[in-house]
Amino acid sequence: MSQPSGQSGHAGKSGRIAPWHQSNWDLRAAGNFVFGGAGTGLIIFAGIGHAFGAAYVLPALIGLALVGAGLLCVWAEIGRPLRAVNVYLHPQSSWMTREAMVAPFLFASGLAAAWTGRQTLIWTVAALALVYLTCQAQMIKASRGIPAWRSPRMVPLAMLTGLCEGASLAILVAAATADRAYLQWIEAFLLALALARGLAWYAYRSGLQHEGAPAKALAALARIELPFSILGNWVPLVLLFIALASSSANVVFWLGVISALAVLGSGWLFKVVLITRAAYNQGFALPQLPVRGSGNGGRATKPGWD
Amino acid sequence: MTRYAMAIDLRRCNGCQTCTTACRHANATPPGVQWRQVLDMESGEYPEVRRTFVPVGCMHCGDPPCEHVCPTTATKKRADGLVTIDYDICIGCGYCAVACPYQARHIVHRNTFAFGDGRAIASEQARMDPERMSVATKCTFCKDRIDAGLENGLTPGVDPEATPACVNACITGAYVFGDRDDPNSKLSKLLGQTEHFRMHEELGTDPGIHYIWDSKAAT
Repeated sequence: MSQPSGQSGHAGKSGRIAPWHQSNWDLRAAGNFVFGGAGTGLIIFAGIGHAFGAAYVLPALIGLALVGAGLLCVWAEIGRPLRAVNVYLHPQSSWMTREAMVAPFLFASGLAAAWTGRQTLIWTVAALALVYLTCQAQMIKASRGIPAWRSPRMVPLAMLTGLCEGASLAILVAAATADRAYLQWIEAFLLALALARGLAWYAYRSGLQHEGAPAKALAALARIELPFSILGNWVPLVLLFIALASSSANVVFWLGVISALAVLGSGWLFKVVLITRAAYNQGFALPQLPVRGSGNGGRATKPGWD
Repeated sequence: MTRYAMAIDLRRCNGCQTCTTACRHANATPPGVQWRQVLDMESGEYPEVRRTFVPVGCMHCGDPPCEHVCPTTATKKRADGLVTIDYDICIGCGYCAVACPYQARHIVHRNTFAFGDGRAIASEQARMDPERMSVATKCTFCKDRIDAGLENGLTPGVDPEATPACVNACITGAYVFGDRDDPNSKLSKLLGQTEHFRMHEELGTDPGIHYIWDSKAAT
């Protein structure tokens, strides 16, 4: 059977045919998703924690700081940072604009909620954080030029990753502040979220296999199966299950902390890999080769795809 | 309505890169940035090996993903189908570049010159455009030529002064430019007579470049 060779007659940047890695978004862009996802997740769980009687101010402020760090990363990435305010001009269809529009409301209401402790404000902040997280997930999915990003399954995966990171950070904050009464509740949330994230990961990867993606993108994602999915998701899930079944406060504490670190680290690893390792572009393809002389048109060619 | 579009006859293209050179001359793009480039695609295995030259660039999509994601409205689609970038508004976030399935967008963050020693030669110095630094750039279908031509009563795709530089330069006549919505345009007639496809059409972008690969079978 005829196979496309994917060879290019040119070296260097121009003339590439098979998908190559995008070079416009780097670690700084990944930082927005890493910190923004974890920060909004933590803000949401700060609100939930408050309903369970846990302290609100510290986790909420850490969450806001993380979101701010993510936005700073983006600001450092753009080519014309002094024009950054132009980002607000296209709310009709740009998820980046929508994310930017939510940010000031998130910060203002977050600070107000931390200052006043009013329940309605706390829930408003949590809702805004969820909207912000949705914008981030949709932003990745709207990148139609990157097959590993445009999958519709990207949205639940990115959102669940952010929520898992938020729950993990909430466990770490609760552990650090000796808020142990709240620890078991948040561990139960993390267990459910990690289960959902694990399933979303497999749905995403099988979807990519089914829809097709550049071979190198699939390989980059396959390489994090062990650190992200096994060690960062399923092992912590088992540990959390043991912790919740245990009557020992020490077991609840230490297994919770270990699980939180694993889930948090693996979530960040996933986002960094997604943006900086698995983001191969579409490449070029021909559904028909041209007819030459009296011959026939050749087979379709799509170099670099599985 | 008018929808400017292009047809490229893959049977005719011989990979001479004259279009690439003409584009670079017309638009003064820096080294490494080719708004119009010609891919040299090899496919198949011996003895069934094929070599195809494929000119690519911005497809001026009818449903451009770059326009949807652009947070600043710098990228716009004109009523005549041309997708444009306002360099004064663009913040260089690169979102359009990752949204484009045709790898047509370029962002250059520092000046580079043909002879690579950090110094511009006279022509580069004369045509350097600081507006295009750290913002997204791409093929414009030579919109300035089109607009100026229209103002002077010329017809894009018919009169060379109102036609993209790559189309004028092509030595094999592989390029045809015109109004796809005008049934009497050369472009529409050619598309009616030939078998053609559009790249990555399955992504729903409604691209404006048609690749001709055969004549229509006589009925």
